[in-house]
Amino acid sequence: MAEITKSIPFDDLELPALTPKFSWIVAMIFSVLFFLVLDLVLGSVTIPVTEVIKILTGQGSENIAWLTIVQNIRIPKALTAILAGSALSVSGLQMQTLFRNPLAGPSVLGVTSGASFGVAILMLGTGHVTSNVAIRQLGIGGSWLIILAAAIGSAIVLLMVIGLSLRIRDNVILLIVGLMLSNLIIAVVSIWQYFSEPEQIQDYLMWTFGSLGGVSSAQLNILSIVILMGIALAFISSKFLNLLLLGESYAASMGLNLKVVKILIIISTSLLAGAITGFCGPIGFIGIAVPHLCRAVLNTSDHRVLVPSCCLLGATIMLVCDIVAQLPGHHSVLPINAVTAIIGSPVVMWVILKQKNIRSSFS
Amino acid sequence: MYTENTISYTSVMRNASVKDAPDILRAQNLSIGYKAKGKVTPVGSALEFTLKPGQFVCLLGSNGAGKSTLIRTLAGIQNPLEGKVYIGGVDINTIQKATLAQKLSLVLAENVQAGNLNVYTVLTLGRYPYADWFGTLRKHDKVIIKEAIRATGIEKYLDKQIHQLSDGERQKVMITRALIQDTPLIILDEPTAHLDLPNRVEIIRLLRRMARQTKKAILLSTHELDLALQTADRIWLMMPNQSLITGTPEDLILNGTFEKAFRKSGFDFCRETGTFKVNTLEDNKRIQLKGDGTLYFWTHRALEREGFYITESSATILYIQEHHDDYCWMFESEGNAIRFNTIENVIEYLRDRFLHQENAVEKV
Repeated sequence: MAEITKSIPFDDLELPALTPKFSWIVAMIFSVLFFLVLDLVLGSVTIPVTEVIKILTGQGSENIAWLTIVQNIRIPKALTAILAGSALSVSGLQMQTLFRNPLAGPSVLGVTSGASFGVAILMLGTGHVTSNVAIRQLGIGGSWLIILAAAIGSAIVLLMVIGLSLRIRDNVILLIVGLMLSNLIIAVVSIWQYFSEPEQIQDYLMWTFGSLGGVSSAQLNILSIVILMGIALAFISSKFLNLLLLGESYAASMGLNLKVVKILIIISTSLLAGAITGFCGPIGFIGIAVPHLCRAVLNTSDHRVLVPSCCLLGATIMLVCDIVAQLPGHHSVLPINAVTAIIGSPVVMWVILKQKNIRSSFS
Repeated sequence: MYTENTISYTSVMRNASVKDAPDILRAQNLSIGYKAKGKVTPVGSALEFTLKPGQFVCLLGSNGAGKSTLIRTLAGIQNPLEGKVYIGGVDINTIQKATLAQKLSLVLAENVQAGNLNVYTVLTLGRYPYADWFGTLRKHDKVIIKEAIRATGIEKYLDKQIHQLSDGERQKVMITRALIQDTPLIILDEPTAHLDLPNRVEIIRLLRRMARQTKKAILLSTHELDLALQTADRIWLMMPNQSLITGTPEDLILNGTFEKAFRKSGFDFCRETGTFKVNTLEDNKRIQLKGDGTLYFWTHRALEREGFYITESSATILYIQEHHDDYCWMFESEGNAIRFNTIENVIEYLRDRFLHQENAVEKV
């Protein structure tokens, strides 16, 4: 009874605020804008910041070459980077919560390879070459087809993983099974490649390196609609995701319809990861690393905060990766997949070493 | 003993006296268990029971008796094999999950481990069944949250992260969350499983107080026989023959139900003390103990641990002598007396003495 007498009077009991540190969110928004401009400035040709801002604000530029480079190449590429960063981070966040596993992410649990499989079926099956040039040639109708193939491919793999998760309660085993599934799909695709024409193999290899530059302005519209839909679904699910943090039993006891929520999350994740993989190739690490960074920086697991902040931080990091990938001042471009891995792996290691509670984060 | 005028007080009369209190939970011909690959494995059958507002009920039974299965069935996580569970008069299988969450809340044994999730956020999740899409908290919600926080006394760690709390504190947070869910029934599945004794006592006392103060029905499954017997209004006992016997703890002890329930686990249940007999007494070790109070109690314990029958028929006598704060033991046998200052010395001596006796018996 002692604790009652000691307790603070009812009206004086202050409930903590749920809103996150506002300054961090503002900083994140500014960092996206900063790196967006930097991404437009740097490249094989360095364009002055003032000119870039002029073009961005619609005033145009006297230098036609700069105008063309920025408008036709760099803006679509930067926007693709923003979309890819947001989409992969948000899908990684959802999967980490759904599987209650800190190492879950689109590339680990086979979603990305599922998307590749979908694209491979479309490309190799219809006889088209799987290069970004080819995707561009397919036009608007074709781009819907690619997104659909990639999303269906990733949804099938995710459904298989979810099906397994109903039988396998142990997350570590599930993760290993997911990895094996991913390997299996990659193996099937490589056998397919083995019997394909040499040009197709080369094109497919180019596609697996990943590239943000293959999306035309017209396709960008479709891609952004799909990604916005996926992110909106994730934002809508954020309250369900919060409940899932307590475990499925608790979530169900609080009235959460697990089946509906799982389907919602699967749709959102496959749209996000599938569409980006279809257009940009399999891009790893962003999906795993960014959610951890967000949790560490904002010190919260509230998905109503994490979904938007994953978008912002994911976009920032993807823009940074793109800047590095295009090797400012050089004419060659590094494969984006390698750059995200080079930047992403140390981040994952740093987070795991620094955040000692990572094992207890998801039981 | 009874005269013709004596009226036997029966449950029929009791039902009449509390008729106005409706059942929160009622089971009718309930069979529980598992169905796998067409094979049905029942763990309980033809169960009938009710739960009333303000009751604090403990569900006991040996491991594998089906406590968890019953809890899962009552919580609507698992379907019954047969029969019906009614919550507030409505069949649980016809209630939508979201509506059910307004009728019963659940606390589990498992440790909730979510990094970077602070206590207050967990508490606000308790309002989920009532909240709109984005979980905006209305004034009414905040009042309920504040009341629950005050009732369980967790003000101190509202701002802390869940993983920073001790197991006991974390379980208190989960119970507070269940209170915030504001349901007439709270079901807890071994909520004290990972806790040490002071925490177990605290949690169980807290739950009983909640039942009294809030008129909620609280059902918890536990292995804490001792605590359950001391605190529960009613005990539900899962029996080895798949039935469920309910009653006041003392009635169940006196009519031998406890002994039956735990017989298969190889322990003897002691009706006198309401505990399990841990020590097996040896026939040839008999001693008479004279003394009283606390000293008698602990000496008795020590002797039983050594396997001694404490009996007045023995000629071997151990006296406890007490003068103010000073005390000692006097051992008397065949006219000799030996004095001891600690129980340890008494026991060392007795061990030695009875070992020789045994050897002597064997030689003969």
